[in-house]
Amino acid sequence: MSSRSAALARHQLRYLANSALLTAAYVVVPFVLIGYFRNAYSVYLQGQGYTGATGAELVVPGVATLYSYLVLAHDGVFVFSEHLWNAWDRVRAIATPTEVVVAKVATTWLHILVQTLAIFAGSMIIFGFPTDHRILSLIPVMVATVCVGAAWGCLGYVLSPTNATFDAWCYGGGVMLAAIGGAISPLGLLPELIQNIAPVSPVYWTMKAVQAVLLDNDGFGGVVKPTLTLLGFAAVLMIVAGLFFDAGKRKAGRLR
Amino acid sequence: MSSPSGNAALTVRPMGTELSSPRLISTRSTLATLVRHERRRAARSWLPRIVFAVIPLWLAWFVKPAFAYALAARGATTGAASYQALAGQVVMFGSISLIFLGHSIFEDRDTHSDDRLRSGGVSRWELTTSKLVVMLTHEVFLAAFVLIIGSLLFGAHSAGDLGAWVVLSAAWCLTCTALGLVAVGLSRTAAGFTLVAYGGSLVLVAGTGGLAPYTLLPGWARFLSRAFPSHWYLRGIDDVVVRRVTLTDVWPNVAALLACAVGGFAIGAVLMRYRRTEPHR
Repeated sequence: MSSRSAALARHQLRYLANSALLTAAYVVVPFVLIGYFRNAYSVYLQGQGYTGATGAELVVPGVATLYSYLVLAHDGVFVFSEHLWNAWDRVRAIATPTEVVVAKVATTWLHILVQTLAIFAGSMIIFGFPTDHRILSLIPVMVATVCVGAAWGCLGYVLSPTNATFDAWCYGGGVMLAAIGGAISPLGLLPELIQNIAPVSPVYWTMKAVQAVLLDNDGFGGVVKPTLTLLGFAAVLMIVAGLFFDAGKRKAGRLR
Repeated sequence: MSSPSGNAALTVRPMGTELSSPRLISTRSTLATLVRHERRRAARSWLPRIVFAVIPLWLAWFVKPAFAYALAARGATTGAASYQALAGQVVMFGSISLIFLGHSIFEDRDTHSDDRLRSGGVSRWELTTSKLVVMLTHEVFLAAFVLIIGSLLFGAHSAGDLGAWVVLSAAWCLTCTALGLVAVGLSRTAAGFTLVAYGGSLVLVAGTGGLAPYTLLPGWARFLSRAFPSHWYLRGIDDVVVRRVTLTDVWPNVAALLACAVGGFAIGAVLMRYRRTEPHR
């Protein structure tokens, strides 16, 4: 990362620090959702023969993944605000488009990663999420999940003319991907058609890896294919975003 | 001293008379004009509005089997699951749609349109009311669209008393709009409001059995859910479609929703009166 990218990244981090309450809310609210969903997942999993399952095994990674999409709206405000404040041209004057993109994406990636780790750590204390060696097998797949989240944000920014559209992309799109992937309702309870098309959602691959490791005890071998698939998703999203990205394009106000 | 000819048209205000504040539009039509303006503005954000009307149908289809699973587990007929799922989505996307109310108010602040209108004689309450009228209309259309189209697509089972559906849903739309006013009043920044609208909607719907079935929520969540207005709407709908009760049986739910609406509008009005915001964030 160049020094100018690093300076812009530090600036973005200051934005996040200035809105610390909101940044923290994206860590706290998931715990509420986990508390709501865990019982339903527990009942379902025990019905499926996982007698020792608490539900946290699937709910925690599912909600953490959902929030890796939702939090993009928070980070996106600081990017769209550059347009709202007419500061975008000034940002471009001090760095190349690539350096600006690297700074914004790196900050968002780091933010999602820290948020995900915080949700996992808190869930180990509050909800009895497993703390044994199996967690190590999940590291690659969760890192890949974070990469997909950041790439989803990049594509959303490129395609959204307004902040409102970007919010809809992050929240509407995030909820849709999570629902299709089995993060809101267990995959086995989704309509058959949705179960068939579920692999088009990156969340499906995260949930598949988590189930393989924490419920089926498949070990590291269970996460290789999902991790590679998720990295493939991230690469495709970034490539498409790159094709449509136009640094000179103005983004409008909140509603227009 | 003779006055210059160019000032000949100037007149002197008689002693004892007061200047009235200029008004851009006549008093009688101020609110209607503002509502028309907000309606035009709403029409410009048609894409996310349509998206927020279609996604609920998709999500209702996704979560419907979970509701059927819960109904079957307690020995009830599973036909009501579609309506439970649809009502949950009305709550979720009704709350999410409050983002349009927030964006409209924060955009006025960012562009100083509110200052210009108020200097033209438009009162604060006229500005706010015009936005609330358009928001309430949106809520009503959204609820009607999701429930009617959803019933046609998924409803293989009688929905129960139509009057109860209409009154409960109308009361929910009113309550949801009032909650929006409170949320805007509490939010100092647009980013904060975005979190309240989107994050809050998930809590509001998940915590009252709109995403995961109510009977599968933990005991503490069922206890706390009474504090959420959506609880009274969703439980009322549950009673109508599962227990087959009528409008007269769900009046406590309607009363609770209306009380929340009145309280919400009152608190929101006070919050808006003393609202402090941070510029452009």
